[in-house]
Amino acid sequence: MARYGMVMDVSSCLGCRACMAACSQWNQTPFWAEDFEGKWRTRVTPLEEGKFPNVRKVFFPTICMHCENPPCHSVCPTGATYINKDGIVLIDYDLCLGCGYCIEACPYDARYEYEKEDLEKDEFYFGEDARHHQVHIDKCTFCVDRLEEGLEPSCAATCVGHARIFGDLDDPNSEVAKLVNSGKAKPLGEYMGAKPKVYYIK
Amino acid sequence: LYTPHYEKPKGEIKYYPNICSFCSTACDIKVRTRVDGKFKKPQKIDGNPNSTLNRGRICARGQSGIRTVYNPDRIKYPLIRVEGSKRGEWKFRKATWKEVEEYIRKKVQEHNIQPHEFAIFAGQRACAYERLGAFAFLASIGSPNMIGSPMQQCVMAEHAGANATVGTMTSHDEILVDMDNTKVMLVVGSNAALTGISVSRAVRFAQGKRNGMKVIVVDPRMSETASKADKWIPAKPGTNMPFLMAVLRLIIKNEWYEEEFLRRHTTAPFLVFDNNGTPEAFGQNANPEALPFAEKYYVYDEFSGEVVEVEGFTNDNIGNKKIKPALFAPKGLTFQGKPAKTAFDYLWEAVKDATPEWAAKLCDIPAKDIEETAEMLGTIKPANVYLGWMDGRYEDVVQARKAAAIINVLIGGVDRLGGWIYTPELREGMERFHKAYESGQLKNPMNLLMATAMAPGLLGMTGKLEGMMYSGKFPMFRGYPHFSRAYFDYRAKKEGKKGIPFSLFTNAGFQEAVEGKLTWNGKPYQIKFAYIYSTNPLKDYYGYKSWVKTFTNPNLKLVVVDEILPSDMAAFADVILPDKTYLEKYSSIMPDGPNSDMAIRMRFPSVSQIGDVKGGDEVFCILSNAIAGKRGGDYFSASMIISQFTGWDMKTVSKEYALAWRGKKPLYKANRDIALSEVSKKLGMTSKQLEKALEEKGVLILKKKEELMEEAGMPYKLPVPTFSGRVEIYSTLFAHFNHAYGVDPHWDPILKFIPFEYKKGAGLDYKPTGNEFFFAFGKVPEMTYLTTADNPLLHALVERHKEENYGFWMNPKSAARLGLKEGDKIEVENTVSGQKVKSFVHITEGIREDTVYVMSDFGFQNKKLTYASGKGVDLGRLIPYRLGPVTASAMSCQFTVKIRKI
Repeated sequence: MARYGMVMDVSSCLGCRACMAACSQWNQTPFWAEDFEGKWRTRVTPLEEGKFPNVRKVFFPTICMHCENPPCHSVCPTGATYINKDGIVLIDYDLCLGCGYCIEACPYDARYEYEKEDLEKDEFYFGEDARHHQVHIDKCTFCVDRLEEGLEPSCAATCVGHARIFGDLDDPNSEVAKLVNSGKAKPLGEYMGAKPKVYYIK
Repeated sequence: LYTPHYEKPKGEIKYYPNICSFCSTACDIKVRTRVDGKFKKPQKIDGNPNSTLNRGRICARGQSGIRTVYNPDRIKYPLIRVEGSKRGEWKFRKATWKEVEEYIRKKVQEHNIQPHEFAIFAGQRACAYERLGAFAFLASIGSPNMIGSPMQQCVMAEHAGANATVGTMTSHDEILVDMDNTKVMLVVGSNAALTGISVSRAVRFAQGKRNGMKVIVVDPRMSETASKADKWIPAKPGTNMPFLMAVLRLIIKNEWYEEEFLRRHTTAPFLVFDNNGTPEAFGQNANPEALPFAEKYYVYDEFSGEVVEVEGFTNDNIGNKKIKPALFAPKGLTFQGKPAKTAFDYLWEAVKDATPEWAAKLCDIPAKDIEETAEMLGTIKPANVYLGWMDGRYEDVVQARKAAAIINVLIGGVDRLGGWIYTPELREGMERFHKAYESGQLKNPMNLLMATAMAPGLLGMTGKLEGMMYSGKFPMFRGYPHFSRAYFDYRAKKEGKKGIPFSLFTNAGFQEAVEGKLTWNGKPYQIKFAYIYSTNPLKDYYGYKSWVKTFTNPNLKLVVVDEILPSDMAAFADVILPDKTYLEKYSSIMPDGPNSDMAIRMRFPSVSQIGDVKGGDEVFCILSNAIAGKRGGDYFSASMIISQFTGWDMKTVSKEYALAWRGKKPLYKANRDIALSEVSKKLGMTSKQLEKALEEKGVLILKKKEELMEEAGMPYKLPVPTFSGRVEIYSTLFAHFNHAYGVDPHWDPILKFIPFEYKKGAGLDYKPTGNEFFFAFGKVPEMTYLTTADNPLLHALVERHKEENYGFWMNPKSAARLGLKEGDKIEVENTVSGQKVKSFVHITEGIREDTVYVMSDFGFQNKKLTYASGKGVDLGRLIPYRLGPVTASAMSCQFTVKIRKI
């Protein structure tokens, strides 16, 4: 049993988007979608503020926050959304009706629908290695299948700036626990009460 | 997450190591592969955790590699242009390799194409990964005509100034800056080298930042790198030179330089005289025909108050002698009857009027930005200057980069922790060369020329250039030089312009050679057959129209293109050959790119055969045989060259190459078997053991940088690869150019301010008004030109922020002035060349008011490219084909543009 979480060190994010590519290749998320913004499990969004020459630009990485009190979980009518023993919020594709309540409920915009056309495209690009075989709601899983093999989530494993730090929040010696316990890393939108396990250093 | 009841595809998961092929960083990767009997299919690429180059990480391009392998647009079979169709129309029929070989053989015979009438455009894959194959191929057909495309287009102009100073010229011409250990870093210009992205640099950059490194970025636009800077200085495009001169002046004025280092290990104390307006060291080898090695140079000894001799080629001016070479000569010193000063005196004179106020006016920035930069670099140790890639190029780029390199030298940033650290390849090469030089084996000029051509870095570059490519005396090429030499003669006669001295593997003169304008020894020198391997001249060599004219010229009897994807260039081919992707290739043993640790690595394929594709190496043998006709390609000459370059045993090489050229063994396998046998001997293991270790680990780290610096610190223990062996403030090579090509400020041996004009009458103080702007371009992290174009996953990533990728960046104030809103369509006109492109405007605060900026990675036109076609701006249609004075690289930003709403 672990309590997995991630720290996003925004000051270290170089804006290269290796995480998005890594996630998409591993999890076969719909990079083919016509709405290029819509269907990613993780995103890096550039934010610019100030006036020339006093401009500040940051690259803001987001994923599913794997909340301890996830609104997506409480609205799911079939119980498809569940929390596994390691605190990872997951979806049982067999139980998922695709109703989309969870998409609306998630305050962090972490979910999207894996539609019928996406299944066709998944097979077009990945052939017999296609991993999606039914319509379902999709989101970040912390690459739970990689964790089983002892690998880090795709995005954190390749993060060039080491801006994504993954680990067990219950292990006081882990880098994530240290950053969180020291108060250096803080969750987004704490007031909403979802208790996210993804923390940010700004 | 798999659907629970879904059956996984058959097979087991294995990892195969490989070397990423998407940019010159060449990261170490491991490919997770599903293996089912003989069937292999890659699933995911990760950085190799054993690698100290990219530290287990890779970028978006690296992560998307599999999407290039299975790209639906891939060229999977050889194609021959349908008879009666025109080049550029894309009418091809499927063919076999046998047919293609026969077709080429027939054309060569029909038009009696001679070896020197053939030219290879050795693009990214040939240049970065298959260099040995490319050299072997040229030797086997006896042609001197290589266009090493990423060199001239990508790096030559930018790195020549630094190369001349520290002698580098290896992997992407750069050394891996030790950012982990530096406290201050000045980044000049382009983003591409850091977060644009080169992972081996970016991992160090991020680590350095975490370690507290302060970063100053000079760039007219807010790049990814600039966004991470502690200080962003958006200087006017084209003004790096005055900025750097002013920094240099403050460092000298405040004595923030490392005096002992300069006295001992650099050419700064060399005594120099004024030779008709240009500085020249006493002792400089003035023979334009010989390489600029000299017997001795002279310094002023502060202990004895006398001029003393120092060795011509050494790392140390002092050695065991009790002398103190002066950095500043006493006033009124004369030597050999001439007024004498030190090179350092000349350097000071070059910058002494470059006050922060003067530079600030030209750069259009506050003077205090310059003062703060100089103070940080000068007073906090360790510090260094970082040179970018794909920066805007103006005719002063070589002098500007020389200024940057000199600052780095002055603050002690050479081969030390926190500074520029040489690659192990350079150290090994210099050890070999230095030993041979010391032993007197090279007294014979021919031996020296040969040894220099094989030496590392700048020495090797110059040796190859002047000995093999330009001399017209190299026996392997039957007395013909590279066509560019014939072109420079033509230019001198017709236009009175000098040659372009530092232009190895250039395309300069290719168009004229095709047009039949060139001669050599009174005979016509025409190119009739072009082989274009993994490069896209139509876009990346600038001047789109002139290249279309060249490739459709009937004088060009045969155009063969080797590609993975239907590039713009491929459309103009007579024959298209389908290349393998890196995931399908084996390789020979390769050094670990720009890694400052010593390491070796190898490629292992992770994909089952797709279509009927062949790797570029195999194609070299097929082409060689087809060109040579009945007698077959001359693999013996190829073996000779390769054994010289690598130090491999000649007998082993020729035995293996015989097999390769007879089609018994692919060339990559031949090279691999030779390398395994040669390297394993050195490591005290068998070939099999070494291969197994490489397959398991992907990369073997043989020595860490600390150990290498201790054993072979350059210039502390060994000479650096310059002609004086020292770090050169005074460049012996540029002084040599003064003798060989005439005196020219662009290759001033010390430093010269070049007050160029953006356009006629618009000098460095020019302020565009109305709808006129300066022009800058750069690179997006998700793309590397042709190599990643059309990758569907990367395409999706760049489409997410397409405004900044496909449009022209413009400051909101300028946009308001022109009445432009985000996304408005515009026409952009080059005020110098008259070229026009259509695009749209992207409004952002991250750009100067007087400048527009565009990404250079896009603009492909071939409709066969499903994802990339028609997206973004083709710079080849906005930037003219115009050769720079020192390296023949395009002066890619020396103009202004006018913007009109359409």
